[in-house]
Amino acid sequence: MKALLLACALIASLLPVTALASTSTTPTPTPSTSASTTPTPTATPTTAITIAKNICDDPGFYDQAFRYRAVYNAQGGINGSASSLGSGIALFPIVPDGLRGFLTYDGGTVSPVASAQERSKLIFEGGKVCTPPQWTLPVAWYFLQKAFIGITWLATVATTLFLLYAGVLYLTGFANEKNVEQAKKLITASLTGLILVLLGQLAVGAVIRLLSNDPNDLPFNNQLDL
Amino acid sequence: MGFSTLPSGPNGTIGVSDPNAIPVLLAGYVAQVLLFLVLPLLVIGVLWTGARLITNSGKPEEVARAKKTFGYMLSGVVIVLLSGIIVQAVTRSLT
Repeated sequence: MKALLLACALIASLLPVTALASTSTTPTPTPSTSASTTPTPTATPTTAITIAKNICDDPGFYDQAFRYRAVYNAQGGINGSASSLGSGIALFPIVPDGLRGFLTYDGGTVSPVASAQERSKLIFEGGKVCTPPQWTLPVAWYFLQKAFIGITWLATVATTLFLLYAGVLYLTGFANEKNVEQAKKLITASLTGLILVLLGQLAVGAVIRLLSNDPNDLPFNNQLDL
Repeated sequence: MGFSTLPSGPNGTIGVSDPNAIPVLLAGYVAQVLLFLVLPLLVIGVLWTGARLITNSGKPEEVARAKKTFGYMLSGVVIVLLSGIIVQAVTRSLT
């Protein structure tokens, strides 16, 4: 069994070499004929994924992607050429939580992809989640903002539910006055929590802006939604 | 066999991937609580307070207490409405 596996591995490792050897032996066309008759080569999906993976490993990509914050939230930001891997477009997400922020890259331009369907298609076709190679201040700020938005949503939902419950407790105070005391405590706690969450974000944002050399260059500055 | 993995709110099935759906979902729950819980409780409370006022008409302390609890009831309605306003205010600031 081991021998069979070894043989398979050996054949598999030799395959690219034989493929290269076969291409080297075939006669190459003259430059004049190839330029006039052969169509421009289109990248295969595999190539596109490889490009995407290389871009993910490039710290400079994040700088480039962050510059597109103005168009990040644009609705329907899918252009025609970005619709499939087969067209030679490298498709990859930038946001690890996979909510939004999937970007397309065609070798020179980064474009936003906002559609959920497109996002699912990217993952299905082998899209890669880029993780930051360098935790610079803008990158950290970007992920902090994402976290803040999530926390704010959570706090808002919790506050609403607690206020609803407290309102009902208050309402039933006509029968049992103890409910009113409990409702008062609930209202105070939930509203204090919401205010602390909102103020905490403002405080962290202020500190980040103080630390940053150019506050205007922070990514997705107040333009990001969940 | 097909089934939905999306949460089903009072306003129908809403995708969690759409953040704009969260206030809609919450507003739906607030409306449901108002309609099916607060409104019936308010009616019962008004009837209860009315009954207390009539039966204790000769006792000023009891009348004052009934008025006080009626105030609690109205405060409860205001708080439930306030919860809807808060969620709208916060979500508007986010989007």
